[in-house]
Amino acid sequence: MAKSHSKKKKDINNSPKIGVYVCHCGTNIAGSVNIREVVDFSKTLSNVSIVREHMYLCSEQGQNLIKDDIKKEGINRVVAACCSPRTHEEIFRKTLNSANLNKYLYEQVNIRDQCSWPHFKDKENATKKAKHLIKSGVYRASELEPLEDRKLSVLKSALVIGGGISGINASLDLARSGYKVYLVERNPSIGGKMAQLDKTFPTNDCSACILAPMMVEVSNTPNIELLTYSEIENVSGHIGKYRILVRKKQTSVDWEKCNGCGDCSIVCPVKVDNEFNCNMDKRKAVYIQFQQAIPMKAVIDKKKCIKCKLCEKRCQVGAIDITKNDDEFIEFDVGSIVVTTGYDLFDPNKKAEYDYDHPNVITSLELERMMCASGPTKGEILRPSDGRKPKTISFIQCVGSRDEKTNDYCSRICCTYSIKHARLLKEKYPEIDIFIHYIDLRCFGKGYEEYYRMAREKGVKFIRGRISQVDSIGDRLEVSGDDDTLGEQISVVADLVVLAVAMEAPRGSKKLANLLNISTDKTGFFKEIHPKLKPVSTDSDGIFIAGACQGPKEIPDAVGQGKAAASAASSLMSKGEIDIEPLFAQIIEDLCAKCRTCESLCTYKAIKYTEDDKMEVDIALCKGCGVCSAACPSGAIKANHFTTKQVRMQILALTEGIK
Amino acid sequence: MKIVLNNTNKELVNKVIEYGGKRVYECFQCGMCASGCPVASDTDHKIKRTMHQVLLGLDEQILDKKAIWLCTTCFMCLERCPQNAGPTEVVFALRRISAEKGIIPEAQIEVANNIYHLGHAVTVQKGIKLREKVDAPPLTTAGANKKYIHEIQKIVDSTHAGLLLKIRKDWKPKGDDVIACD
Repeated sequence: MAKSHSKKKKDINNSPKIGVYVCHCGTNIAGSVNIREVVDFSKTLSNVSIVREHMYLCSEQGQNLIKDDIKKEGINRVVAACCSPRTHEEIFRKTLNSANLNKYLYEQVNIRDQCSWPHFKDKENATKKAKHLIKSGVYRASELEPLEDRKLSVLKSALVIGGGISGINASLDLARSGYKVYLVERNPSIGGKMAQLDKTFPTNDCSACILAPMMVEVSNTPNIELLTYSEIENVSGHIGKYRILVRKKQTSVDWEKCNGCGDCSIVCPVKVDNEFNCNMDKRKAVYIQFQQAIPMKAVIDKKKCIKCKLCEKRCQVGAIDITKNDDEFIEFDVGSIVVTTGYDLFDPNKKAEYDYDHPNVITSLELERMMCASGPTKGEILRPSDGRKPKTISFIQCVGSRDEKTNDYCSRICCTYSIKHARLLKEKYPEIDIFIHYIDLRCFGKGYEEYYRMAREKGVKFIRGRISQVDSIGDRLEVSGDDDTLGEQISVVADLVVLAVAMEAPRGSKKLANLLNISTDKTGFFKEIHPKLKPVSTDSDGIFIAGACQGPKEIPDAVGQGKAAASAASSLMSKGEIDIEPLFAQIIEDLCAKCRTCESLCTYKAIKYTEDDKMEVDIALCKGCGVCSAACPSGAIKANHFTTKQVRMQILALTEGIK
Repeated sequence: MKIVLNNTNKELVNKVIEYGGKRVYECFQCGMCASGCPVASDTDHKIKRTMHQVLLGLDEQILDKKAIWLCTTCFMCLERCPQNAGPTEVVFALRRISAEKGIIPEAQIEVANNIYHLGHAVTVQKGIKLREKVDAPPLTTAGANKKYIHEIQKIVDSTHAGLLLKIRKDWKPKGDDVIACD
């Protein structure tokens, strides 16, 4: 400790001795920035004692160059002119650390994203801009101060929001690693969309057969506290310690007593649309969501119940009390959060040309329920209009996908699930004619090509071309469109039309994003920090996303991400504490007049007025954005690493000589 | 006119398979066959479309047209097809089906009769005489020897091929060629 203290002192006392390192990044930078000119210019800047160039500065060789200069040449400030700090700042900071120089005495100038890439056709000006930016970096580096990371303790418990296949996997992995898990699900049972599926591609596994054992394991794992029929009401706190408020919706059934016998449903006289079967049949006002439900407990639909009390009288264990109306609230703290809220389906009514109002125009999920032995038709495929078996079925792909008017993205799973449906139907009813109308077939997964080939071999007809409209003719449907290969308009007279509707961000994702302080992209799905390198991390440290709530995804990917998010949360919590960057605001108490301007401006709710008449910064919440510092009328807030002096020097560097 | 895809000839694809186009189902319309086809740019022979028409059962669009007879059988598509769907074999199968229905273009009938009567797809009699004149060694192919031509005729006569290909005993070759074996 003493050593590091003396080191710190040395840093401050020594006059700045800056090393500037210019990276070629292959031809990424050197292709449109004149490196030679930039190097020569950097040598003329004050406090700069060494300037070097390297083909790939982030290579081990490049980093050793910096280390050697720190150790042998006494460099005490490092400016790297290279790529984005978003991807590489951490690497170079570690380089400084390993050479015993405080890692905050490092400044990165992005001459790739800001010079060579945007101005690749104008080498002269790209070079000029690179010089300006390096000058600004050097001026700032002269004013950098050493800073120490702070430690923050982290609770060894996690919240998983959403009990679909992704959330189930995340919960199980976290629980197996020894963490306490709270799994919150808005429906009465976990299982998510996968529980509604009949078979899964590309192996045609029975969905329930592979999902149900995992659901049972969730209920049997003591480390997992299952909170179904519940929603997140509020989230406060920060990484390491989030305070969660959960609203447990009133079921009017005491789940401690309920044994899932289903007698209450039998006597209930109220029939309502069954959401689990896509409203194709009815359930009762008191119901168990589906046959493999976990927990296997009854719920009273308070909006539909007529309070006849027949269920109350029938229940042999006395679990039902329909006078119970109030929701329950549960509060607990967790160290990290995994969001796995899945997806919802595109509303096909928005595509009027496909006539979804017609009973024989259905969505793929409706077909899936029909195909399922526990579905509304017990596994038989029947025309909803008259219960007759269809002779011809048309599948229309990309309904609400790859369409600027609805969703511009590809939903990724529809091609393969339509092929699955076509195959299963052909296996069961070889005489049915099946047409799949597609734009592109995107069956990209392991084993999917073979899956597609087998559908062709079974005689499924694949027609490339969009369908313009569906019209009813008599008791059948005319599907009109284009056949790209024939170069002609075609039509198919079908008995059943199946719409492969897009996957969309789940209902309420915006609201949840606000609660958690994480971002959504323009499509409403939650946004990861980096699509390749940080696929499950969010803007808010300690909050991870997985599965289809991040974007359309098939089951294997959703499982993979669930496990990835569990691993990320686990590595965060395992030590019980984490380092956080000291880039937060500091109040200089002597100058502070407690006007509380900063408190009202802080987006992250990080500054609060305390009972003992002080302004206090919560360093776990503060992102170091500097709004408070800029707004403070008495200059009483210092933004670490972005001090007024440091910013002024940068401005000076960029404006010097401009009249 | 809109093409209605119901009530097409569902037997066509099975017949194509039976007649040699065994892997026609494998076709996924990538267009590799059509992309290198040497006759596609100048004729109506669009092999990718033909494969699709077979799968859809649009027999009238294929069998009544000359296109399938324009294939030079260079086998480039068969070599390159990434699904080994055998487009050339499908063309052969279609020709067989077509011939069975009696739909054969005149040019093909002429070629068949040339082979039956002369032993060659194209006439060579002028060449045989020219060779004699300049003391060049005589042709040794089927057309040069009656014996071989009779063997060809024997084979054709013992099958239905003669009937299918409309072989005529009173056939006269075009131009000033003569029938060698008479």
